[in-house]
Amino acid sequence: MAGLANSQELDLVIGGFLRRLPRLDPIIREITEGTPLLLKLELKDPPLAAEIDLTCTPLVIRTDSTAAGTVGMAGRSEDFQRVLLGLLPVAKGINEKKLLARGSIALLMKAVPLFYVVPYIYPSYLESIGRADLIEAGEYPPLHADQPVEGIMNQIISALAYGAGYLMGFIKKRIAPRLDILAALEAMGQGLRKAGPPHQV
Amino acid sequence: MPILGRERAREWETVWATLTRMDSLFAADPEGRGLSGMLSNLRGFLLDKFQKSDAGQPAVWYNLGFNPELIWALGVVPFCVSELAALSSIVGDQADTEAFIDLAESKGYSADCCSADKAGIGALLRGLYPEPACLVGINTPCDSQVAVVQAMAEQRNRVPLFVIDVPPYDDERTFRQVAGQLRELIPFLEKHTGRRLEWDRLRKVCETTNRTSQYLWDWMEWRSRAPTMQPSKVAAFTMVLMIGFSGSRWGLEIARALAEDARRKVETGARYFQEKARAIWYQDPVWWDIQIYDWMEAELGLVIPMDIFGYYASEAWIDTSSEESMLFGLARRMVNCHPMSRQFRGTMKRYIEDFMVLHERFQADCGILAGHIACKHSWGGIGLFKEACKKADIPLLVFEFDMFDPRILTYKELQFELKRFVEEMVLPRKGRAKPGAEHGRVGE
Repeated sequence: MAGLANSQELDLVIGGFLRRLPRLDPIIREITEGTPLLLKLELKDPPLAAEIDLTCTPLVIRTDSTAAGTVGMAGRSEDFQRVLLGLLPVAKGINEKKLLARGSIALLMKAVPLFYVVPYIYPSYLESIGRADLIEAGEYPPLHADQPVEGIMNQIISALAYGAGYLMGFIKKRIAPRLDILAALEAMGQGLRKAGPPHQV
Repeated sequence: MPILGRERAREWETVWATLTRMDSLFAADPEGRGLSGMLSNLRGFLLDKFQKSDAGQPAVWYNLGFNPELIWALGVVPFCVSELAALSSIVGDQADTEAFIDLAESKGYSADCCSADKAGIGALLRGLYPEPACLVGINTPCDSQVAVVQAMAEQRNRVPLFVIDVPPYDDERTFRQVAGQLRELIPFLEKHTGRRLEWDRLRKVCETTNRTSQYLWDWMEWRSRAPTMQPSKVAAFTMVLMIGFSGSRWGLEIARALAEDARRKVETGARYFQEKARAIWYQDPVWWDIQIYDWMEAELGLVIPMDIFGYYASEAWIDTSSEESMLFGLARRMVNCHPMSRQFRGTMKRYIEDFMVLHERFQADCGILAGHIACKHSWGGIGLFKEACKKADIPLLVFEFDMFDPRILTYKELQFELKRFVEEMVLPRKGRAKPGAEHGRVGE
């Protein structure tokens, strides 16, 4: 895999991705159950410090702050890149001490599902900025234990979401390679927000 | 997240939801099997308690030094009053534990008490446990327990209380004396819970405890090997196991998961960091963020093969041949094996001796006394302990902190203390030590 050579490049690639997250604010709040947490990411070799601040609406991304955060994840940039790609599941990263977590477990467990979702959008983001070279070929392990979807309504919505995802993937791969997946997710987020009040924070 | 389909207090639901998420997260990775085994049995344990409480089974409250075998044998529901506060810190939201502490202090309980007890009292004040049929108080594992027993009695002043008074000795006469008190506890529990103790049932519970003990001894054996393969963050769980799970099948399964995980890790030999120094953590663990142990390993190469909360003494076996022998075994185990109760009664002799034994057996390079601010017994004897370490040429780090409250010593401050000690004291000494002394006592 081509590496991220220096802090500048890291900021452009991973920092750039994080700075797009506010577009997905409603979806991220659903994933984190509206928890007002401040996730601090501390990368090294090369270094980058970033915060995903969910204490305000819409969420704010900072890459220039020294705040400690309510919860944190630290690790080498290369390993974090593999987390974003889905090549390094969070549990494996923690168990192998490639990811060092910090802070309240309850809040961390609210933040961790973000890393289940990100691998589905990060590769298309890399393609969109012309850095497909960073997408590593290989076997992608499951991101977390398969959990049965409970409840008929959840099953119906999951099936519809799967269908929509399949359709987007089909169009992107076969018809319109420049299809903006983030824009589609952003539209879904707007729909979520329109349907009801956002989580109280 | 509702538990058994019913809404519960927010703090219980937070613990439940976090446990569920952690179990799901770690079960997916083979390296997380041990942790997942612990988490799923912890969930089973909580589910069983809620199930029984919902069915109207009587609850018995007790404090930190008591082991619940007699309560399990009666088929009633044990609740250690510090249970929710500890769970919130370890597998829930630390902010809840701090809120319990603040509540207890705001109601006039002394800030000098142990945070485990203050947090327990906070949970009592919030009414977060099912109403008890009766209370069991004990004056171990430390002096702070007297305060929590008093708080229990004040909070539920119409509920009958039985107090076990453990003398400050560790001889056979002491065990017989405590066994006699357990004998008196039985009719008290029977009267107030409406259950009759069947000795065969107690025998089965004691046998479960014995099997648990065997797993804990195996676990210690696997952890004593250098390098230690199982993470440092699980070194302290014997204490939790004895207080909450002793005699239950969940306790047995947790001990089994720990032991098998330690064995598997040694056998597979997969290493994710370089072990540079081994320390006996000789006081309270960092419950408010146990992930700091991962940082110690990854960034400092510092491993905690064993700590005082994890150490399980060899006197835990319960002879199940007669009523008397079972009560004697339970008493001896509670007095002489329960971490802290064993070391924090009476003189400093055992406290120091146990440290030296652990240091030798676990091939440590140094000691770390994470001085929980409320542990007056250890602070009272700190001079003797320092002197003993100096005599044995064992580097010792001593600092003040609180195991449930990061506001006393913060994460960053703790990192600073540990980094300075390992990098400026332990590793340079190891570098100067004679060849072959990498895992032995430095300078011997």
